[in-house]
Amino acid sequence: MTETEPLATGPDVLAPPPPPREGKAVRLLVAALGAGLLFGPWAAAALGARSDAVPGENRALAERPDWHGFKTFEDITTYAADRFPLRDLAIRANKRFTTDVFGENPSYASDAGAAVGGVPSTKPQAEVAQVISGRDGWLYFFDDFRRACRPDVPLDTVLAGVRRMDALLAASGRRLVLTVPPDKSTVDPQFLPADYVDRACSVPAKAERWRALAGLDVPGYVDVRTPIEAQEKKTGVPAYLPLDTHWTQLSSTIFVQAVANRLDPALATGTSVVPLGTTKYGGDLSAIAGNPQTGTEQAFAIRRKGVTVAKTEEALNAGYVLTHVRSTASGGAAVFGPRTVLIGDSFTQRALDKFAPYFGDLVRVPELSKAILAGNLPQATDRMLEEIAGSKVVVVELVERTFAGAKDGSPFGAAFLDRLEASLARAPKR
Amino acid sequence: MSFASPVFLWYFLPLTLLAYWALPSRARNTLLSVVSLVFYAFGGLSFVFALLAVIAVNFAAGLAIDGDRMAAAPGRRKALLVATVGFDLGILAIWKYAGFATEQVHRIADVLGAGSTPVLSIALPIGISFFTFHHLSYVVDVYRHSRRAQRSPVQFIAYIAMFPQLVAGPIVRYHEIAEQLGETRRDRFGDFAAGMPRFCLGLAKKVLIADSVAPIADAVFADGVALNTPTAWLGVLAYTFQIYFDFSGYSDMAIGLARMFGFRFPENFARPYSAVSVTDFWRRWHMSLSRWFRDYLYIPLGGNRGSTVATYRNLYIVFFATGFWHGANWTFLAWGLYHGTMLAIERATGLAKVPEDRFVVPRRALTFLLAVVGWVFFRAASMEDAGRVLKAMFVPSFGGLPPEVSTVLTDYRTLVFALAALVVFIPRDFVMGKLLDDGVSKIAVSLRVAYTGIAAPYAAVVVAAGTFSPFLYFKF
Repeated sequence: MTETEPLATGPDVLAPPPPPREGKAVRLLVAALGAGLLFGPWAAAALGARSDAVPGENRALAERPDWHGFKTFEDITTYAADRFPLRDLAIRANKRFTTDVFGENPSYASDAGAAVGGVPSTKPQAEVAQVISGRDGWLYFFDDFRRACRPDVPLDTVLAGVRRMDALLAASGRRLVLTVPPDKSTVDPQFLPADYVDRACSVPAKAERWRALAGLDVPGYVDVRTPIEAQEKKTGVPAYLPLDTHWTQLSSTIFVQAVANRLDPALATGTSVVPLGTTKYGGDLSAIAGNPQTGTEQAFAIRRKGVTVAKTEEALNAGYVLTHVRSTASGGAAVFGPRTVLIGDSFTQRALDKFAPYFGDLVRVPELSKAILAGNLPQATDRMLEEIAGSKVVVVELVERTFAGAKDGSPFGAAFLDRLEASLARAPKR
Repeated sequence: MSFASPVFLWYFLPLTLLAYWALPSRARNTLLSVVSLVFYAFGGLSFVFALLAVIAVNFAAGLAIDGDRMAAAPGRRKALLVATVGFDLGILAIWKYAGFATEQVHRIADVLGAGSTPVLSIALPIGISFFTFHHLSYVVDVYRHSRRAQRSPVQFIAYIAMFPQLVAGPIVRYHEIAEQLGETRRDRFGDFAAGMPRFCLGLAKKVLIADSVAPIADAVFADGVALNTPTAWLGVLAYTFQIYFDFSGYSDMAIGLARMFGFRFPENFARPYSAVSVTDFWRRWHMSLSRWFRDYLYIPLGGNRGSTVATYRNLYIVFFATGFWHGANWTFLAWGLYHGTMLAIERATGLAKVPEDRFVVPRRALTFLLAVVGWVFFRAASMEDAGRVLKAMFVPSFGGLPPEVSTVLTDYRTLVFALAALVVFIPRDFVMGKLLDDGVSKIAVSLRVAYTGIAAPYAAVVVAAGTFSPFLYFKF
């Protein structure tokens, strides 16, 4: 039995590395391959190769860092990761390999640091895919289920906020119209896999959510789920797009018409839905999954007899753009005259061309989580309050998961409503 | 800065190599010292000053311990050693263990109804466990007259902070490498050609295997996942492969990098999952740590020279320290003591003395199983979590994979998992790193070319693709 029996042994002195024993040709080959790995991107850059933007990258790439103390090293790391030569080629190659060979979306979980003390360097959190792959190539957004199971704000609190906004606007002589586009998974769950993360808790939570909305005692609430589902049942065509979180253009026309009908049923006069043939769309869910894909859909437009649309855009900053619509009618169809502010998310954004011929004086303001991403929440909040104060009608559209599950940027939160109350108190009754 | 990151692969390493090749050989240690501090700054610039301060204290202590005046005063010499060791361990204790200790005090005070006590939360300098052990190795070696004190601060910084080993080892004892620090005449082309394949092996192990099976383990160990027996085993096996390929991959990269700069580092792994006993496992797993504990703790405690009771005590002390060295959590302590107990049982039953070529298959299987069970403690976030996973493993319950797990168990990961499992079954003497470093056969040469020309470039593509960020959703 030796002194060191239970523990590893080894030489007490490590001599410098011995001279290589393999042939020079092998050394040359290995050295060339190694040099290609480390210096190849720079050689390519010297020959003119540049790293182009990669489709689906949902952030701006890092700019060249300036020296500003301790944080500079973090900035250099980010810059290096974003800007090294041939980055785009590598991303495309990786995507192609995983999709072509394995038929799977690439995983972008990257290394999180060194293996300190033997603890693995990969991230310890469970990786929950943001996109759930369903049958027949259908994709679903995990937030549909996450926010149903773990909402930031309880549903009762949200609904109390809606009632408060309705009361505040009514008391000031204004009118609230609220609409909630259902999640894709609510209307078209038929392509979901048999089991998925949060299935058990989200199904009853969503049912409870829609029961509560059906019983909502706010006169301006517009139920769009029922006509969308009726249309799907009638045509047999899914109301949503396979690769996208959003619904089809036909569903979009139904949504716009439902809102217009609530504002003034007479707006249906002189209105027609016109098919425009097939068009391509870039699936947002496929992009989130790291594998941007394009699908086709049937395009539709809403035509209103004798109406001329005038639309202008106003950017508060690069990521937060307001749209002003001033349509005019010259016989035939009428336009909705009262000044209207339309607060909505991407469902509204994608339906803006369809909304436009209905309104004589409309300003579309993106919902505030967009302002958070754009980094101008205070400015955007002030502007939203200003637009509400200047309007007779306030239309709010928020997709189900955001309406009932999100806290940041919600117009039904106490902080926003307190400011709205103060703002309306200052504005004359209209 | 991770070795498997764009900033390292395409900025730091190429620039450092170019500088190394351009400068005269005698400037090697200066260059390595400077770039190593820059490397460390990427983990937190303020920590560089802390590291330099600790280096300065140990450098001065080494000179004093080795000085003529101390030679005539052994008591003072020993006192200085104790003070320096106390300083190093104190730094480690404050940074790494103060938070854990104050949390325990807080819990006890809470249970006793003694009110709330503060819990410290201190940012941990990267690699503190490694550079502390390097410092301790240095002052003890100098004290033992095993090596003279380092007169050159540049060489000393190169030893302590050399970037290949700074954050993830291997732990290089001072007496192992002291001669190499002074030897700077190198065949730079030959060193690059020899070190690069080893680096590539490590990169491929880390990026292509460890990172691929990690999500499976993460999903199984995540909160709230309904575990059944097959799922628990799947997750624990995934972690078993993840930690081996991750840690040994880092060691391979470190050894390869050191070689590129003309250094030979000690081996850190030798097919640990082919061990035929837990004793054998510890001769193959994280060998540089094991050697360090042997030299600076186990033998000074008396090793196995004393009574049977003293030997077991020493064994438990070593594995208590091994567990806590890995992290300030009861789970690491449990893992260390679990292994200490296994070693004690092997010693007590005589299993440790069974010749290695007897009953190889069942012994390998049993040892692998014991290692797998140990990893549950190592990976779990808490003892409660460890209990939950162990219960699922050993109290039979069946059913399909929970969706959290089936979502991440893609075909690609399943294939990688299967390939990783092969490492358990191939012959014990097939050690890839050794073959790459020393082999001259056609197989060895082919593997060098394959790792450098195929596996590492693919790993680099994966690293590069990891910078793509499709997740911040702007459309909503």
